[in-house]
Amino acid sequence: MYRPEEFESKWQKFWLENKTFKVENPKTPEEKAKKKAYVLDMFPYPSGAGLHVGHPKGYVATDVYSRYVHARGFNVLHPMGWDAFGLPAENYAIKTGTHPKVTTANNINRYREQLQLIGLSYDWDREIDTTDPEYYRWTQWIFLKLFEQGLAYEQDLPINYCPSCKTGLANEEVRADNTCDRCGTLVERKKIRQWVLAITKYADRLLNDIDTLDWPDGIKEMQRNWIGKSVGCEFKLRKAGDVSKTLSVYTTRIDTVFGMTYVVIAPDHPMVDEFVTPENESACRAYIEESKSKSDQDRTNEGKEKTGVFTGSYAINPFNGEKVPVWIADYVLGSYGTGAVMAVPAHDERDHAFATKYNLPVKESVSTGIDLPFTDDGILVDSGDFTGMTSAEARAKLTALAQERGFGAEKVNYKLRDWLFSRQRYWGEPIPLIHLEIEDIKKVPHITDLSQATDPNLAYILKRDPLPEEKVSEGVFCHGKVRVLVIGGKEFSKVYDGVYTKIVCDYNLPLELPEVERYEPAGDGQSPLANVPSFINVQLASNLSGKRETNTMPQWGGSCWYYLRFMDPKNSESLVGKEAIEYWQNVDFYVGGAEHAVLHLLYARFWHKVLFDIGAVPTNEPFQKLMSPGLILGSDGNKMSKSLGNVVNPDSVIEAHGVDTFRLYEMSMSDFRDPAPWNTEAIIGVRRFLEKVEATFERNIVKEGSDEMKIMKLLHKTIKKV
Amino acid sequence: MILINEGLPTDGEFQKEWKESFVKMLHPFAPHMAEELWQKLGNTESVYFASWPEYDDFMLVDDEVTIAIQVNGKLRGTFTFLNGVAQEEVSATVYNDPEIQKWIGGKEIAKEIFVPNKLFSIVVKQ
Repeated sequence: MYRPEEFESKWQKFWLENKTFKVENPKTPEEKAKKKAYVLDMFPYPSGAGLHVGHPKGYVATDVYSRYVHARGFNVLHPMGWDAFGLPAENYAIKTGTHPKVTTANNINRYREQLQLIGLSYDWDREIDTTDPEYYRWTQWIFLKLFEQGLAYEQDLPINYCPSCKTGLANEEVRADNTCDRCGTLVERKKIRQWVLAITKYADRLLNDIDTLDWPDGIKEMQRNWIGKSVGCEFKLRKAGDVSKTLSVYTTRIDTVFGMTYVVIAPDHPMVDEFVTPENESACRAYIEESKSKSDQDRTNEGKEKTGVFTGSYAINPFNGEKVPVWIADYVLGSYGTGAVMAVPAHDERDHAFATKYNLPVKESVSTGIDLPFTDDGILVDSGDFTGMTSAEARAKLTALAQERGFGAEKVNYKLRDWLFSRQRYWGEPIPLIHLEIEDIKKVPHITDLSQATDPNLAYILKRDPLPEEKVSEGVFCHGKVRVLVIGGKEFSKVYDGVYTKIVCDYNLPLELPEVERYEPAGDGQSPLANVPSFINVQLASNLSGKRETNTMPQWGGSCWYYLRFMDPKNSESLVGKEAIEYWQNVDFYVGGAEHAVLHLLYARFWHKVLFDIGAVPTNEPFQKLMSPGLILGSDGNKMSKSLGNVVNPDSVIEAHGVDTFRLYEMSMSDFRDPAPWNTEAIIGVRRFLEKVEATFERNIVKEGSDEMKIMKLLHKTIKKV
Repeated sequence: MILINEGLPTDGEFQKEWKESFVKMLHPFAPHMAEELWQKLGNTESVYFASWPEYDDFMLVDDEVTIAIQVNGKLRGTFTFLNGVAQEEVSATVYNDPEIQKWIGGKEIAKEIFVPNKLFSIVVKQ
């Protein structure tokens, strides 16, 4: 009889006790010559709900693959860990007062047990937890590298703010209906001091290197669209009656410039005041105020009716000298492009709707013969010297003309925004930066030679003029001349000598989260860390004190580089040792949900490239091959959900039929990448197969009159097929 | 599945090879059962450390082949021969077969096309 309950847990125990799946980093040249396979699952956030049925499909797939390549003679790295910072544990802490650390540890234990029940071949000695200070010291270290490279900067930003979670949200965390992705509350706009990572500086490389990846085409396309590179023309329009005032606009359709009938500027455009005439002032003010409460998504949403208001001023189209009215409308974003657009109602859907609503003229400049707006390329009409040209030809010629006359140039634009990288919450990695007062810095003795820094209790400013050129970056706080702050005779951090806030790195890592009494964010939107004086106030040296940064990192930080830590999880000298990274290189096979297409997968690629640039990793990309498991649907073909009552719990299947049946069934559910409905009868079929295997072995079943050679040949054919 | 439905080979050596190879292939998908069977086969180490079974090219070759016989482009029968049979042997069998003879019926043979192990096609003058 096939009785999986009699042996499955026995073997799971055996694997754990014998560390069957433990893999050592190779040391000898012979060991290093062995082929490697790094097979990785996207590590889960250990939520209170435990593992759900969507998780195991990918985990079983990588496990089958890991076991197979191991049998083929590869050194297999197949680890698991926990992406454990995040809001649910913190929200729970706010409600119950339980430290998120405790909740997280409980959830992790539950997840680990559940994973071990599926018989997955992880090397548990490499387990990592992003909330462990020994782990996050390296997340903090990478942040400091980003800061040193001028890739992390402070900015007062109108952020998406969730009044219920009391925290800022990235655009990706706001749903299409302008509610918080986590709690469903309506998101507000609020300006707050934030840390931002300059991912846009890597936009071109992130875009170009997509071609080198063995990833599903859909995910590659999503990343391309998210980066959203466009080549267009930026040109200036002068204000009619006051040529000293100009507006810059960016367009990818400069071929339609003769069809421009008005100009739109964003309500938060810095030139708004210059264009609003006294007669229109009150209407414009009211409109600008109203738009402040709307989110970017809300403003640009295609379904929403566009609104606007006339400034009373006109601008001059430099290509034909025509006067066009300047409007304020919130469907243009101040943060995208130049914050102003040329409106061509004949050849743009949005402009057409707006012009129709406000009775603005529609002027055709690309031949159509069909109803307007016509948004494709065509032949130019009514466009002066450019009439009769194709759109592509006209774009090149018009851009050249703008360049020649000095009022415009070709310009590349990206949809990708810099990455909001701070939260006003407790349960995240502290940002290891210290803010200094300019007055305090002025009192620090300036020296020209490190040997003069004799008293270890004092801080010194080491003058280094002129600067090596590569140290000067464009970041907000990097203007002026760099000095090195020296504490205890050791170079401590760079100090930027200018009019900006002085911020120094605290290299004394990990900077651990302090204990707090209450986990609620401070009411003004600050993190709970702002309530802990012993954390905030820091004495750098006896003659210099500072205040710690109180923002914490978002959940994305720890998951941006965890795949590197698995290669060398116990290293206390560096985030990953040279030998380990040289052997394991990067992930050969990565499996996880397509919902991470533009978040985790893009962020991790960005960090990896930065680490590559500073020489910390030898590869250019983190994940060579990627696959996403298709969704497992309910037996009714719908997405599993509590409300439909079609949720299947993996535990109950395992209990009834054993893990092997569960694994084999999940792997036989049509193509791994396609969605597939759960089918209880098919599970029985899989179980029958295993029962038959058991019987064949146990009773040596031989078929009457069967052909010896035929069976052996079939065996070899099967080996080849598998 | 196919493999299991055919049952085990009777010969002791073959049976051992069959069982070991089968368990090795079962292992990635159903590792618990594979370990259990692997142990029963007398192994003391985990099946995780067993290397993947190799196949033998020789064993992939079928002994017998089925050759289709066409007369003027139409399928008129199939015959079983040993793998690698020569054209002469095929034609000797085919021309002596009464069924095929019906379609040729003493007509002049214009052309013969032979695709080894697959096809023997005869073109006759009408």
